[in-house]
Amino acid sequence: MPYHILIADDATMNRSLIKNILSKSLVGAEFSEAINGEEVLAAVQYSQIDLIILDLIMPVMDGFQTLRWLKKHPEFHDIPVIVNSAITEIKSIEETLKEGAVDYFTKPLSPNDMEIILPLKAKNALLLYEQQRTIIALNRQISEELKNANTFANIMLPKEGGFRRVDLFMKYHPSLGVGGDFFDCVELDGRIHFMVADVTGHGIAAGMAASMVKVLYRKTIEKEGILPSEILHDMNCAIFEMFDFAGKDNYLVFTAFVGIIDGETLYYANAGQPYPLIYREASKSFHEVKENGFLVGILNHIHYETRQTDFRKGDMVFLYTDGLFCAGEGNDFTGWEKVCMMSKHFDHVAGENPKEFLEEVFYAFYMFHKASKLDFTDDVAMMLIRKK
Amino acid sequence: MEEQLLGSCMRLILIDGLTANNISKFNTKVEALMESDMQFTEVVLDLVNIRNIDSMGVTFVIGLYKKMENQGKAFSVSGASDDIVSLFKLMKLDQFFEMNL
Repeated sequence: MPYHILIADDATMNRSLIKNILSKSLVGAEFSEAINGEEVLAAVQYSQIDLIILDLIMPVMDGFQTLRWLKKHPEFHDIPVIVNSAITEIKSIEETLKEGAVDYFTKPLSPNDMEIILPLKAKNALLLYEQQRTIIALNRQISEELKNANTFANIMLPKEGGFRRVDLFMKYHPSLGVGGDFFDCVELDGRIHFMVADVTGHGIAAGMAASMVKVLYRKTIEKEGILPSEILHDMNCAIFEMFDFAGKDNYLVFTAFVGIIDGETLYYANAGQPYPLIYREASKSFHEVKENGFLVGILNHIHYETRQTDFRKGDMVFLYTDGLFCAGEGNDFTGWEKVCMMSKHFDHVAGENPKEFLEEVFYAFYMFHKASKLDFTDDVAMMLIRKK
Repeated sequence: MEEQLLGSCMRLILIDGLTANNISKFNTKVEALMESDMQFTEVVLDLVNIRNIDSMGVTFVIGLYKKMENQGKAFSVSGASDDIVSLFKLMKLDQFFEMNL
């Protein structure tokens, strides 16, 4: 599409002069004219304008008012405005540039202005506007893609209802981008399988890896009688069998905590996930599960260990990702101690209302971050599984 | 990242945080080091200046350990803070390489 340039000046001769100059250097450009600010406003509302050459002293609505109006309206504030005025005082030039004009030139035009300066200023302004529009369009497209990816990440989360042997409570606070957090909880052959995982890194690659983890996990737990350590082991081996990272071997690396509730026993194995907590109905209190383990996806044939503990009616396991405590740039990365402390502080709430417990813990960390002038920078996912 | 070659020991001293935004820079340095003709049989990653670490930082350390292991070079970490040691222990990294104070 040809450029559309609007020349606003109350003097017919000035408008003709500028049009003549620009039409020589901007071949194919279209021109519109306005004799005051009101006509400028009408023009931008009814047609696509790529550049405005604006006189300051005009009747009805002057150039200052017009410029301010344009810059106040988001749909028009990116249109480049070059001010063309007989006012030569530096104060006026400074004011219009501060108001958002991209350039300024004074009348009367010298031969150099006509042949060189004005055409170049117009070309630069048009180029800049075109680049701005491209960036805006790309940002819009990326935002849309991220929104879709976030919706997809939400779909991957387990749903709260529908379990025969447990109650599941979730709290998920997505970050702006796509994260690598992953939760799953599934009832299979009379056993409850669950996993929390966090793929290293952030962004789209981590989000894609998290979807792969889900598929891999669901496939792995199909094996009858499988134990958590075997799930981690099999997933780890599968990563090395299935993916060729061409020497870049850190693309599908994640921490994970895997558990199975079978009758009144909880089997679990940890692969570097911040320590989960178990709530005991008998003592009405939380206890940390201090189990260490190697990350998945970075070394082949790693050995994981399965532990087991009693898990009776009303007992709960509390899982969370590090996005809860780790805000800012890599600080407070051992904040699982704070999670343990806050969980113990709210253990009376957990027993009575698990959903409210998740909200309380989330709010407590929100306030911690707020006190350090930070906010959640990663996805926050929390899951509480209570034995029926 | 600063390099100090002392005999057969290459000491890599990190100045910037072990976080996602610095990892690409560290990797470039390590690649250049591996392609250089410097002779060493041991690498020590000095974390004495490091206060911040994230998951990408952890994978960088493991990646470096793997590279050295593949080339038959010894690898250890020194000067890590208590918090970094706790994180490495959570991930059982202390079973793969030494962590010296």
